[in-house]
Order: sequence, then structure tokens, then C-alpha cells
Amino acid sequence: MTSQVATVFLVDDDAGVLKALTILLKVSGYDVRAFLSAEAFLVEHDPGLPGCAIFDVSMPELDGLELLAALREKELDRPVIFITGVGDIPTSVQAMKAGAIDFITKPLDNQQLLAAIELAVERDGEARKNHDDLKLIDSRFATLTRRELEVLRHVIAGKMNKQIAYELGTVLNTIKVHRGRMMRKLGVTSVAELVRVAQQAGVQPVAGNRKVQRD
Amino acid sequence: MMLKSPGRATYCRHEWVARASGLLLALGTLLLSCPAAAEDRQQRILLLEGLTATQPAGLRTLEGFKARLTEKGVKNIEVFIDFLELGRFPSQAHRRRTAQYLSEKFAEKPIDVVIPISRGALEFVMQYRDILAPKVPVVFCCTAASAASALGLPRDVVGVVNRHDWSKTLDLAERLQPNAHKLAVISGASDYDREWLEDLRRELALRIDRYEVRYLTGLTYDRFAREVAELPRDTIVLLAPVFTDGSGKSRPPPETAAEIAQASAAPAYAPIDTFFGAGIVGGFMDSYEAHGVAVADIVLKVLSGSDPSILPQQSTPLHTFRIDERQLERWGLSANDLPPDSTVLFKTPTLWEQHRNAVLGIAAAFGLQSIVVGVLIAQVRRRKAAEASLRESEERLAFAAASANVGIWRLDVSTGNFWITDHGRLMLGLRSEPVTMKSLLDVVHPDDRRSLAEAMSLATRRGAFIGGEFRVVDGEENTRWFVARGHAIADGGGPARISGIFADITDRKSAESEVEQQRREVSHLMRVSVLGELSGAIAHELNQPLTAILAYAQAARRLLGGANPELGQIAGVLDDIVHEDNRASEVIRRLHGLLRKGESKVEAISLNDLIESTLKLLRSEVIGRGVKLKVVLEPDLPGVSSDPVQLQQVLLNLLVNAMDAMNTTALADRVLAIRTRSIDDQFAEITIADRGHGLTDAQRAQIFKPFFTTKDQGLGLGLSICAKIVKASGGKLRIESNADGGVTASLMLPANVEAETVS
Repeated sequence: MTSQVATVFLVDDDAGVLKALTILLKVSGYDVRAFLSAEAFLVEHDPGLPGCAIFDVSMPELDGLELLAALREKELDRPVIFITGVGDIPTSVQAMKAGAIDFITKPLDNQQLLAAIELAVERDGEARKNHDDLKLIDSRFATLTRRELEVLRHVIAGKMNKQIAYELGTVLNTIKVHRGRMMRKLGVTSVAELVRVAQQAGVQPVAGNRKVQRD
Repeated sequence: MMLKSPGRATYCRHEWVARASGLLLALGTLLLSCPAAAEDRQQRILLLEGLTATQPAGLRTLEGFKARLTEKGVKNIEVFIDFLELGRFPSQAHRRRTAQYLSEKFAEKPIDVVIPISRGALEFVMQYRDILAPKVPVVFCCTAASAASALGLPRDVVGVVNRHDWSKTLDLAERLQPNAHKLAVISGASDYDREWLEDLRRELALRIDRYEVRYLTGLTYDRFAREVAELPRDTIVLLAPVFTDGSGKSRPPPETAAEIAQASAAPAYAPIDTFFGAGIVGGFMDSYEAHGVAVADIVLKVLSGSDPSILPQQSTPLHTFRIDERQLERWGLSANDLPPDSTVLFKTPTLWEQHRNAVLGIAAAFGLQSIVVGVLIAQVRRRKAAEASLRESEERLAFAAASANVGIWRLDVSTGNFWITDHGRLMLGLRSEPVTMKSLLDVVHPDDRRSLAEAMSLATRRGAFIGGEFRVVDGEENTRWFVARGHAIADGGGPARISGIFADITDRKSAESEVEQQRREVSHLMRVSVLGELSGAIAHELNQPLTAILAYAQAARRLLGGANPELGQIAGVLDDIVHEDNRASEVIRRLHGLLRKGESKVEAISLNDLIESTLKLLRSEVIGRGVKLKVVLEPDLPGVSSDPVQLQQVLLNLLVNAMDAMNTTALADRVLAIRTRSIDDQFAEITIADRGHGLTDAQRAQIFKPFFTTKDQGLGLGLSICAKIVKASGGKLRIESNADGGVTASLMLPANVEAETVS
């Protein structure tokens, strides 16, 4: 995280302001992607880049608040700072409720802006870290075969190998092979560990002593 | 008319000199007036007179020629004239020299037709045609038919010839002397003379037998005079020219003819123009003027493209019976016997006539005297009464005029002096009398002097009605406004007097300017109020460049604080600051223009630019209201003339109205369509269509009335002021309902022709 330079996505329909902020933020050590309209940003936005976004509130077509809503609809929780020429209270309240990091009135105070960006980038980093862990687990789970996943669900339900072999209509040795391979793929060495990652990945154990369908 | 021999008529009377100089002047003007029409194909003709500029024959021909051109309304012909002086310089060398000179002279201005006047000139032209004007048509005149035939002219050389009509001349003599039975024929002794005599006899062959004919031919000059003095009174004398007498002497035939006619005891006749006026009664003859007219007609045909070779080679000019009134009286002949279309010349009142008039006058005077005395007595009384009444009437008028603060004036065109009533002079602050055009103009405001002087001179020349306003500055630098009205009173030719009134209209003018001032105030207040409504948006417009400037400044400071400040980059940032600062100034300038209170100034304006600038001012407002703009500007829109500030006010008003109307419109429908278009290059039009609540027909009917408004907070002055502004620029403002809701405001202004050509 720290090794990568944070990117600021800047959206303002005023070319003069856009250019000035771009220079200021670049000089301040950020990577800047500048957009003259909300639409252009939505097309070009790369969610994979760590960093934050600064939206001008008052823009033709999609305004800043609408843009934030559009972003959230795509289930992207990029931290956003709003800037505005006319800082009326209802708009700022609306913005903060929508989850903005800050709402700054033009002309922008340098300290306030940079502080807000710093905060936003930090938030983005944290969110991104959580997300990365999850993604790792998810990717490991994705490598399991259907049979291995079945075995896993039986294991975390606290069943013995013999029991599992019976319920899945196979022999003990086969279950042992599946179980060993599954543990290896998920990078766990104990049942306790297995239970934790399964929980993180949202994998549910098989229910009680229900008869297992034969395939 | 030129005679067959080199001997020529040489009258030298003052009259001719006067005529000659007049004609030369007239020709001069003709030449001067020509360059003005030089764009058209100008044609040039060269008249070549054989003798000198003082010779009457040639000059009279030219006079006839010129008169004919004027009569025909010919304009695009440049007329040149040269006098060859072949009589004074008879040598070949002179002829060669002259030809060379003329050919070089007219190389600059090629000639379209050459007109030799007289046989000598015709011979000269034919001899040097190839140098002088090769292939140029030649139209000659004043040459005897026989002489022209003898020259063996090519077919493309045509002209007017002399013809001597002895038969008709005899007709004239017979009418005047019906009882005459004797005929005397005078002729000279040379072969030339004999040819003339033969012509005469041939022509009169059938009629001469009636008379007892006596041929007085080949006598000496003295004998001629003596013989004719012996003739019986009832003789008809026919005078053929005498070129050479019996002793072989030659004299100009007109001189001899004059001598013979004066000595003759019987009336003499001849069909020869040069004999006329010096003793003969008259004859059927042409005239030099008639030659001029005839040659002019041919020349015009040739110039208009007729091929000379299809025209008759020899034409005769108009012949008339010409009679010398003095001779009729000398011989006691009656003018009643003259043929109907005769021209009687030299009419001078005789001594007797003068006496008779005097006697009649004196007798009448005696007769009238008593009547006059009586009438005078009565008239004196009447005049006194009339004078009293006139004086009273004048006093009444002057009093009425003074009471109404009106001055009465009259301009005497011949003296250039004004008469102005006492009160009128007081009004204008004129102390001295008489009032001249100069002393009047001296008190007039310098800016108005020219127009007033022009109005006066126009009235003087054309007799037109005049009317105008002018200012007078008094000693204390106070300016007063006057209106003058007047009309010209004609007196025969041009207007003799211009008379009229003038009135002080300073109060009206100041009231007008006060109204104008108030109108400007209200207009300004409306602009301020529109801008007040827009203040938030305008502040935002100003905020943007300030935001950018601040960011740049902070960026620059950061750059300077770095380890290795890169100066190039800092310079770039500073440039950006300057740019943004200009942008802020631009916003302020635009605002200032609208807020300032000033005289209205009409300029050439591009409506497209004005719309773009106005939309920049409204940019934030438009965004803030969630209005989408659809702007379609015609690139080749003609320019218009108006006050840019006021016109921008109109646009602002219309745009804000349109946006206000859409306050309750669904967001997605808030579209404002702005278009410009040219209407036949005559008008430039702006249309602003909204999708707002629209107007009812009743509302629409009142929309331009002051204090009518559909807005809760509106004053109802915006559109009424807009309409006035547009009208003042000669345009039209309309508000119409759209078929699909909302209204369209259209603003049409007349195209500015100058601006269009400039752009």
C-alpha cells in the first residue's frame, strides 16, 4: 500500500479549476486523473487504483451528488471529497449523509484539502486491505472441486471421515484424499483454521443428519 | 455653305466674334463634362474646319451641330475641333505638317468619326486619311454636291452637300412680285461661273420662257452695279455668284453680290446663304446651322453602328425660304405674299414705326392723364386705408408671433439679407442689422451651421419647403434649441424669397431629454435587478478563476519549497495565474458593462458573440437550475446595429424569464433552446424556446405592457423595456406559445449591411 502512489480522481466542469487543482495535487505528490464531466469519469474510472475522488458539486448533466450515487450503484466505495462554489448547508448535509469524506467551499483552503485527501486515501487503504484478504480467501475457495467443497462442508459440520464416506456413498480412503487436497488448497493445517476461513468466505456447514442425496 | 471657288465669305462683324467665343466655351464645357461618363464606352468625334476659328461659316455649322447633339440628349460623345487654316497657309507643307500633328495628337484618343467642314477640309481629309484616321468613317458637310462628286469619294465617305434651288427661289420671287415679267440673271466670266449659270438655266428651263430674260454675265464689277441700277422696278434679279468679272479680277462672291443687290433698282434673289442679309430679298436656301444639324444626324447613325456605305452618300440639309425683312420694306413687298413656311430675319423697327408709337403714346398719355388724376386721388385714399390696415395687420401678426415666442423671417435671395421681426432677432440674440447669412450662422451652434446653410441653399435652388432644428449659443454659453420652418416664394425663374417662422423649443427639448434620462434610469434599474437575481451565479463565475489562482499559487509555493525548484515549471504556473486573472477580469468587465449607467452607444454587433458572452455570464445559473442548453448558432449570421449593453439586457431578461418559467418543469425537461438564423440576409433573428408553464392567450396579449407580470416577485417592467430597446434598434420582439408547451421569444433585428461586408 505504502509503496504505491495514491491516485486522485478529479472531476470539475471548469477547465481552469481542473487544471489548477491537477497541478497543485501533482506537486503535492499525488497521481491525478482529471475529468471535465461526470460521464467521462464514469467511463475512465479504474477502481483498482488506490486513492480518492474529488467531485465538484455543481456540474451540468450529472452533478457531484448524482455522480456519487452512480458510483455507489456500481458497488464501488471510492472515498469522495466534494468541492463547491456555493456552499449551501442543505447540499453539504446531503453530501455528508451520502458518505462524503469532506465538503469544501471554493476557493479551496490548501491545508483543508490536503488533509481531506490524506484522510480519504487512508480510508481507501484500509478498505482495500480488508478487501484484499477476502479476495485471497475467495480465490483459494474458487480452486476447490465440487466434491472437495462437499467434503469441506461435512468437515466443518464436525463429521468424522467414516461418516462422511458413508453419507457421500464412497470409501474412507477417497474421503481422506479429498480432505487432504482441500486442506492443502486452502492453506490451512487445522480444522479450527478451516472453520475460520470457511466463515470468512461465507461457506455454510451441511445441515444436521439429513439424508444426503445420492448422485 | 461653301462656294465652288477658293474665294470665301469673309464677314467680320462683332456678332461673329461673340458667337465664336460663346461656341468655343460651349464646346469646352462639352469636353469637360465628358470624363464623368467615361465608364461607358465613350465615342470621340473630330470636326475639322478648313479655315480659321473666326470664320462664321464653320462656327455656325458647329453651332447647329452642337445644338442637335444637345437636342438628341447625346452624352457620351467627346467632341474635338481643329481649324486647319488652309486659306491662310495654302502650302502643301502646311497640310502635311497639320496632318502629322493631328495624327500624333489623336493617337492618344482615337477618333470614331471625322467630320470635315467645307470642301477644303474634305479634300485635306481624303488626302491624309491614312495617316490621320485610317478606316475611320468620314462624314463631311458644307461642300457643293458637284465638288463632292468631282472628288470621287469612296463609298464609306458620306456627307451633307449644298444644293442650290433656283426653281424654288424663283417661286419666292414670283409670289412677291406676281406682276413681274422681266428676269435679270447675274453671273461671272470664268468657267466656274459658267457652270453655275448652266445649272441655273437647266433648272429654270421650263419656266424662263414666260419672262423677258436679260443675262448680265461677264461684266466688270463696276458695270454690274451700273447695269442693275438701270433695271426696271418690276424685274426679278437672280444673283448667281460672281467669282471672276469680265476683266479677269476675282473678289469674294458675297461682296460682289452685296454690291449688286444694293445697287439694283429691282429686288434681287439668290439661293445662297452667304449672300443673305447683305441686300438680297431672299431665296430658298439651306444654312450652316442646317448643315450642322444634318451632319449630326448622320454622325449619330454612324456612331450607333450603321455602316456608312449603306447611307446615302450625299444628303441635303433642311432648306427654307429665308427672307430679309429690311428688303421687303425697301421694295414695298408684302410679307403676306410669302410662302407659309418662310423664315423672316432682320426684323428691325423702322423710324416710322418708332414715330408712330411715340405719337400714339403721347396721344394716349394725354387721354389717360385726366383718368389717372381721378384714379390717383381715389387710390391715395384707398392706399392710406390699406396701409393702415396692413400696418395694423402686421402689428397684430408681430404681436401674435412675439406672444407665442415665434420669430418671423424672410430671406431675400437676390441680396442674401434676412428680415427678422424684432422679437425674432431678440430670440436669436442678433443685435446688428441687416442680418446676413453669415451673421445668422455666427450665432448658430457650430455643429448645426452646415445643415442649416444646406437647408437654406436647397430652398433657394429648388424652392423646396424647408424645416429643421438648430441650436443657438448665447453670450453666456447657454444653448437654446430652435425649430425653423419656411417655404420659398417663386418670382418668375427661381425662388425670390424664402419666408417662414422659427420657434424656441428649448423647453420641449429638455423635457424630451428628461424623459430619455428617465427611460435610461429605469432601463438601468432593470439591468441591476436582473443582475441582482443572478448575483449568486455571478459570484460563482468569479469564484472559479479565484479558486484556480489560489491553487496555482499554492502549487508554486510548494514547487519553490522543494529541493530543486524547476523554474520552467514555476513560470508555467505563473502564466496560468495570469490567464485565470484575466478570466476574472473578463467577468468583472462584463458585469461592469451591464451595471454602468451611460449614454446609449450604437455599435455593430455579432448576435452570436453576444449570446456566447451572455451565456458565459449565466453559466452557473443555468447549471444551478438544472437547465440544459441547446444552442444552435448560424455561422453566417449578418451583423446588426444596436447598443450592446441594452441588447445584452434584453437577452438576459429573455433567458432568465425562460428559466424562471421552467422552475416547475420536470428536471429532464428543462431544456432551453437558443438559435440564431438569418432571414434572407435582411434580418438576424434569435429565438429562445423554453418548456415552461407557457402563457394563456390573455397573458400573451398583455405581455409587453408595463407592470404586467406572471411572476410572484416580478415588477412587470422587464419585457416592456426589452420591447422598447428592440424597437429603438429597428427590430421586433415577439413572444409566442409553442405547440408542445412553453413559449418562444424571438428577437429580430435588421441586418447591418456595412458590418456584413466588413466581416
